[in-house]
Amino acid sequence: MRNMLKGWIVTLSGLLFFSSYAWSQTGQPADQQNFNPGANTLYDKLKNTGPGGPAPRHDISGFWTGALGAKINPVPPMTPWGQEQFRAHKTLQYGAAASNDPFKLCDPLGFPRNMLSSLRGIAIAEMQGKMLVMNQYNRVWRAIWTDGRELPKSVGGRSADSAEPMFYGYSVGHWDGDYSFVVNTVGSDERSWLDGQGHPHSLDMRVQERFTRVDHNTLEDTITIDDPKTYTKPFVISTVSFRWIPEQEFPEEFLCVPSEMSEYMRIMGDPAGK
Amino acid sequence: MESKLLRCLALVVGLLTVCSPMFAHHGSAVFAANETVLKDATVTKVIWANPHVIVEFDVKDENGNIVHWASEASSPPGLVQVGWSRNALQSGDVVTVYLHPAKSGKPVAWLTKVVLPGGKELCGMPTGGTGYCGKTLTPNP
Repeated sequence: MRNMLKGWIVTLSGLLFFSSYAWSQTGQPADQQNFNPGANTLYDKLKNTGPGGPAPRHDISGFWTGALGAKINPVPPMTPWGQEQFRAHKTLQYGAAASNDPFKLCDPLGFPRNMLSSLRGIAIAEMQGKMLVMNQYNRVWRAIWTDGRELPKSVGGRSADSAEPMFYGYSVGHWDGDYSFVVNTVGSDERSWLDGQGHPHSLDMRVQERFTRVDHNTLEDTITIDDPKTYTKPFVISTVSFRWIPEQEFPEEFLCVPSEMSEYMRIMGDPAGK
Repeated sequence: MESKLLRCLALVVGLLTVCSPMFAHHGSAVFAANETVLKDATVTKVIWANPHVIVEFDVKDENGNIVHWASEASSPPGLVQVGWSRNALQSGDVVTVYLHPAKSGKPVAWLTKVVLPGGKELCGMPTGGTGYCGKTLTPNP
């Protein structure tokens, strides 16, 4: 009886220790952790303010605020190539000193990661022949061509007319009904991570976004990844939700400044990690 | 003997329950799960910058020696949502700090709360998991 009880104590202690360790160590990187219901972001303060009126037709423009990071759905099994890339990615979860997240160098988040993290603010504006999606974080924008042109047939290929990879890719978009704007993107530079969890993507990735104006105050972006070089099937990585900012402006500037990042690493990141 | 073992089991479960909900925040692996409170900390510098606001302070250790600490809070956009401003803390302020020291043993830490003279509280990690912004700890899915 005594030995059985001792055995249970050891087993239970081990399970509790490793389960807590697992909870903190795996699947809990920056983006996922920041999807924390009840957290104190501008999005949380606005999310229960109601619809604000019906959705306007063919209009996703305006200044929007998101949860700090989108909720990332589980990804499908990766190919051997995908697994190899994933193993090489050390997220910030393990501490800034140990991480090789490009975020640490103030490298571009790239697309679609910039629609999955650091989402305190985005702004959308329609111009002749294109829709601009602008991010508060690092003041980057994507131009989504709406003039009917096609996406590049080849990106990063050998021929002279093959397009260059770009961190934010090449995008075309069109309205699907009155309230959904569909965007297709190719050519995202492979150096960017798919998300803050360290999931990789290849240059061959094709991304579809469906922006839906749910009502006046709510915009959603459903992001689908199709990257057979990396993942064994297409999948919806997230449906990102945004709220209309009443002031129609970002409350502050939000930049990754290399000198500030260096100072952070010197004062905090390296001492904490070593 | 069995009751001793049962008490041991209860203690183990109790300890792990208190310590194991490791706050879910990037980089949390390098900071201690349990919280430390330091009183009479004198703020020496505030760096109001991304990726994290850094609050540096001096505090006496148990031997009376002054130790210089650096602690990180959330980013400026995150902190302004919970009552901070660039000048909310200034050099010379004497405060109580709640923090999670680095496991490395160096005097660097994750800052969860600052209590100013007069009792005003500033939450250091609005979207972290310790609940010091009036929210209960919720494990992330």
